[in-house]
Amino acid sequence: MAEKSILKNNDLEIYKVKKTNKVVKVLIYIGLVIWVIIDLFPIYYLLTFSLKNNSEIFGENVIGLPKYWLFSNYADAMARGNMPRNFLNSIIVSVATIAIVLIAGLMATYAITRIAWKGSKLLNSIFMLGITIPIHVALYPIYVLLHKVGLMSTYTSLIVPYAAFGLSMGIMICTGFMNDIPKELDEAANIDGCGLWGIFFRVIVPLMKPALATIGIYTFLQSWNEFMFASIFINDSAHKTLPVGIAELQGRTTTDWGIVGAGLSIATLPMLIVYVFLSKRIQESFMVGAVKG
Amino acid sequence: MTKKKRKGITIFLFLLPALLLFFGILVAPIISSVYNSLYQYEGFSGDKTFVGIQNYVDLFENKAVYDFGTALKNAFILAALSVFIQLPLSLGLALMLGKGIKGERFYLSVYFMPVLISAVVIGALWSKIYNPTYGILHYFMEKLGIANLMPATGFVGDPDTALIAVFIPTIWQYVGYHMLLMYAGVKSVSPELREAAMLDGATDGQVDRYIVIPSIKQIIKVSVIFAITGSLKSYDLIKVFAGSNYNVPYNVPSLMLVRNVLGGHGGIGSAIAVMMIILCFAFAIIINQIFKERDPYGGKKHIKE
Repeated sequence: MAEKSILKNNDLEIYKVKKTNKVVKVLIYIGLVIWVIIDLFPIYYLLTFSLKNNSEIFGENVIGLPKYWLFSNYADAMARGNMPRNFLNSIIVSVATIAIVLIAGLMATYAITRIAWKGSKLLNSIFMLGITIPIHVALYPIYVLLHKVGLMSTYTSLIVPYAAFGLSMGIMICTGFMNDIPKELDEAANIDGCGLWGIFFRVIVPLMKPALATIGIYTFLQSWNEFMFASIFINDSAHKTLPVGIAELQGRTTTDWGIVGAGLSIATLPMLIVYVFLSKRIQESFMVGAVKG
Repeated sequence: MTKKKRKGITIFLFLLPALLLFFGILVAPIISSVYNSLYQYEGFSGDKTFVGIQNYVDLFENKAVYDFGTALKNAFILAALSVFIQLPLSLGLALMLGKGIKGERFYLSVYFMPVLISAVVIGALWSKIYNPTYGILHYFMEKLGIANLMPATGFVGDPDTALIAVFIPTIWQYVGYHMLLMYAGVKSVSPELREAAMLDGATDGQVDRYIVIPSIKQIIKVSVIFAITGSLKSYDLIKVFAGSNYNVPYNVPSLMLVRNVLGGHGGIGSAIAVMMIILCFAFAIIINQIFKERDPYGGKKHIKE
């Protein structure tokens, strides 16, 4: 008898909770939408003014959609800066960085997590310290070294440092994925006559594809957007990467806002388009990196 | 014996690429920075004089030339804004998204998007937004009749407001990053736990306060460490605002570093770099200590049978 009434009471409670929830939910939606606007408005502003002329941007039509869609701004930005070249350079540097991080990271992680030897744990923690080390430390020593060996303004001057500073994160992500592969597979392969190299190439590498995607995305974004080294180690326009090209276009072009806007959009849109299709993957690659650290 | 040796060689070969990169490009520069920071360099000629810790003393004492103290103070202000404004915003958004909202993925994706955009683009875009004559901010302020609140040289041009104006885009850009980390944590809280608390009569706020936040403490810790070390390192966006000018009210350590490296002052530059590593590690350790598990009375947890 008593139990029954408690149950009834609880039922009422649940009902009540759900009701108050509705008010809270409305407030939540309002909060969420406000931040969507704060997030998207600057980008909307950028995309619209990249298609306008100065008289629209400066007063006639500040926040509306462009009256005349000036795609010529994009052609001008391409011509005025060296954007196609910058773009290509960024791709070369990023892809090469990813390749090095993947190869070095996979191999090192394999040696650390799959082969038993004294000191593997210690070496792993040394690698992990790399995540906290700011890339700034290497600026002066590498700058001097590049001058000495005559490698200033080469792709190498960016690729090697980017790979070195991306390596720790690569190893960390690799370790997470590699630990999920059962060790029995190694043993089975060993019985079938595979050595350490055989196990690595035939068992581990094929099973690490998801890890490669995660590391690839993460490393790509880091090297694609890097600015400090790129602006200091590269002095000739043939090797400049996209962020440097953009910064120069912005610094030089003070009057034609539309052209600057077009330049900024050219640098941003490809990334956003890829993001639309791969948003989940891209978000995951950032989560894996931080949550396990 | 030979088998063991062969195994050793194999391990070494697997590690070789990573070791070369890590020790060649990461560890060696740290050592050489510490060494260089004890010398005074004359340009790039290679001439140097041993000065001991004079570079470090100069950084703080010689205010007319370096004024590292101000740059450091600015970085700390950015770190504080990041921890006390950006992270609470991120946490708020993550908690709201964690309540099973319609269109969850849409919100999540929009909030994270600015993280992917190059900081150079963000800086260039916001310098247009802040433009004192033509910027969208001025336009809105005019519509609201408060245009006179904007300094004549703009928020970035005016020394009183420049610091805050330059830091706002940085904060804005990374809210979504921390939101994503926290959201992952919020989502990993078991729905049964939430339901049980709700059945006991807990309100939404109480569930967040007593169940969700305590269980994502470790993620909040990571966010705090990233926010602080990120602030100490910040460069790209600030450099875009500063352009070729180094004497800006929003000077930060990395801007000083670049200036001195390019100017051939390797000793001072290295001292700044060394200070940055020390600070990054010190903060990481301090934050780890603060977030160590504590019992309800505030003391450190100790193992007891």
